Amino acid sequence: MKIKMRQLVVAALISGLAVTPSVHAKDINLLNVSYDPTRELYQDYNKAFAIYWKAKTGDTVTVNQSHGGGGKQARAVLDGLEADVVTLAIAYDIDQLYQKRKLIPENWQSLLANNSSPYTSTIVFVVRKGNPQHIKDWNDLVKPGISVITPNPKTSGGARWNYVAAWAYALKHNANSEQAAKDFVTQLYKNTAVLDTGARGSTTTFAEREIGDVLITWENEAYLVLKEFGAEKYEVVTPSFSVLTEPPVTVVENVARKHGTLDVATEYLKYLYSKEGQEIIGKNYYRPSDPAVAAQFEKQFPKLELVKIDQLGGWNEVQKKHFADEGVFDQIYGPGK
Amino acid sequence: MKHLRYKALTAVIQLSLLGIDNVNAADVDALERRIRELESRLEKFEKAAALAPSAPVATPVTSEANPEVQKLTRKVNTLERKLEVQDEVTSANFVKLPKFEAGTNGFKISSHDGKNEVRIRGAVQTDGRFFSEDPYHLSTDRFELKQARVWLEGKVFKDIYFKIMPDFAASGNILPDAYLDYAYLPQASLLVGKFKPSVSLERLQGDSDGTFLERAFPTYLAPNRDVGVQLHGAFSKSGFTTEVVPGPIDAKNTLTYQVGVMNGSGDDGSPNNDAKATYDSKEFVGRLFAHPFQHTGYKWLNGLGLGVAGTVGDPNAQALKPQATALGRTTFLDYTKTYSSNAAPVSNGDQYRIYPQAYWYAGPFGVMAEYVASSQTLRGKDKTKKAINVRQDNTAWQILASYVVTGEDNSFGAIRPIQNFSPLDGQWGALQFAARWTELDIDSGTFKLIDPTKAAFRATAWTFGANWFLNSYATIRADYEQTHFDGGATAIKGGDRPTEHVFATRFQLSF
Repeated sequence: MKIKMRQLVVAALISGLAVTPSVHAKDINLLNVSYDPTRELYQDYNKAFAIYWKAKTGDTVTVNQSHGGGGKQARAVLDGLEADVVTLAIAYDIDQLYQKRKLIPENWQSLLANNSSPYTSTIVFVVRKGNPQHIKDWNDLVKPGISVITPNPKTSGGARWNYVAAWAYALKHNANSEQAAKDFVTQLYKNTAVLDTGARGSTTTFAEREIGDVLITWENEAYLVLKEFGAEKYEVVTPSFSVLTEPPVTVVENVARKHGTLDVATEYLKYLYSKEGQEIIGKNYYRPSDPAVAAQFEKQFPKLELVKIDQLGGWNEVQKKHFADEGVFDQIYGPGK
Repeated sequence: MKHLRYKALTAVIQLSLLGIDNVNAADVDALERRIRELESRLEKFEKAAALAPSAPVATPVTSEANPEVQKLTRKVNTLERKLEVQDEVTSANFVKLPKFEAGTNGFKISSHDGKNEVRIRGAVQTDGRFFSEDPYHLSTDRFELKQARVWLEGKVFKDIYFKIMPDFAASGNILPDAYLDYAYLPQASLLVGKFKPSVSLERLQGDSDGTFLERAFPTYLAPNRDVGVQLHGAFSKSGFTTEVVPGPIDAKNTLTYQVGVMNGSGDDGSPNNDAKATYDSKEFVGRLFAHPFQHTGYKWLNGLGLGVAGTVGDPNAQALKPQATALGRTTFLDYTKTYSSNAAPVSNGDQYRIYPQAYWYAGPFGVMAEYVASSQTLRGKDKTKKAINVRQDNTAWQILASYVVTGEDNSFGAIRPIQNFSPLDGQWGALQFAARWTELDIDSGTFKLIDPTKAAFRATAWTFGANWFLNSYATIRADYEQTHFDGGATAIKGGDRPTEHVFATRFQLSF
């Protein structure tokens, strides 16, 4: 009888195991809404992450990318574009996702290392081969007759970094005189031939259409110009002074929770801080935040003096003062100005 | 390039007309003039360069080497790029502009993402009623404004629908519909406000979509409008999408249900704006309706709909509305015609209604049938002025058939002509003919409370009608109806109320 009972229990357990649903590998889709020049970075990174995630979980993850001017991209997410993660140019744009629709937590910037910025970069110049206009630093850009290409700060995060770098340079060289800085950026934008909506558009204007003497752009975008359009045609000029750009990333928690992708989206961003992620970042001419990996790529990044946005009051203050309606940019640039 | 430039220029000018701040038409005009100047100069230089080899000049001139040409080329490139960027900005702005539409579905404004929209709608019905063989002058020939409605309907935040419909021709109920419908799921939507309770099929049909000028007798034993809450939803056959149909009637999906709690407005009741509920226990309404052959491949049965509705209530001293002829709208049962000037009886106690209902639309052919058994307790005083309760069991039914002779599909909704009326082009719109039989039986117990010599206990009517749809908005209707009565006129005829003969017309505009 005892044997029979034991057999019964074993049989029941086996039957139970047999009907337990098996765990199947899943196909997961993520949408990364990013700013303009990160196409190549995330193309490389997404492949590496998919391999990593497959090995870790067995699931197949496909990351779709959306790129455009950072400000425009943030507005698209606010208008309903269902991004699982955003990887934008400036913290202010991401912060709007909390301020306007509570799509992310208020403390989003403290959820990942380095204020949620897995890499940094800076703003440099690209000129035509031989540097025919002898452009070396910011003060060369405001000389009469120089044709400058930079995107529109109203739609592009990168353009705001460009503006801030020029403003900070002018403050530094004019004893912190705001009027002098204003005059400086006024002249800079007077010299601007075309204001594209994003950094990639400006690259097209400068390199494909051959318009302008100098392109102000992200450091990574500058090296991409050499790679894509030929080092025999263009040169990168690193000014003496620029801004330390800290493009942040975050999971759009409300959307990811709805999609059931919160875990994979979080891991997707955390993996940016891994050794492999940081190396991909370095290979794409972004400055890695990991000191060890940064050291590997030290030679490809010239040294220059960098100002942090905090030294200018932080993005909220800068945005309000310079780029809000009727701000400094509206005062200095527009039809007839 | 010129094409691009003109496209951008046109877009910019359009935007400037729309008041977009950052686009300045004057600047664009100046830019355009400047491009033409530069192009003209560039052409001259290019011609000069092309002629250079045959000219007696020692050094060959090429456009590549000429710095002036290079300078001009760069200027033109810059201007063209500026226009491309402007075109990109303009296109992006266009995408975000709200949409304005005007067409067969009325006039609509919607947000660029389609989540918010407002439709402006309206309906005017002007009628004429002419009675023949009316020696006792029981009815009055008349012209009347039946409806004058302008209303808003639409949605906000994707799935909160609304309708606000005043009727400027109404004498009492000047706001027939005012409701919100939160249709988050097609299977479960919550309708709140004032609307048609889901009871009578013909009542639920759109007020401008009926086959005849006026509805048949079963409709008038159901509430007309009421205030309350209704849960409703729909289901489709597996593999087919269930369509969100806001409001009290869904004639599109395979299976629909409605369950509601209403104040209870009585037979043909329609509360005025300031009308208060008259009892606490409320009226419960339920309806189930199916298109059993939808998506089955039986083409001719696709438009068959079958259903049943019912109400249960317990009104307290609720006033009773008179009953009138279907087309003539002449009262033949007036609850105030009591014995010895007694107070009019009221509905007081258990009340229920059952409404089996069906329609079938197949090609040009259409049929609708409806039956009602209505039961309520009346409280009033008899001939001896003694207060009594009477159980009143009324029944009514109707069947109608219609045929569209001009080839259009018949429909429970609006009929859309294939060709709009335009006689000079040989186009005459759509023409529909229809016939109906309807009957109302009033419980004999009723006449313990009201005078049978002044109120008929049965009305039977047959009707012929023709509807001429000039276009999607305008319709001309003409109906002829005879109504025979049992009882109701001992004083004037020795027994039955005289037969009513009425010819009625309507010109209707509805969009």
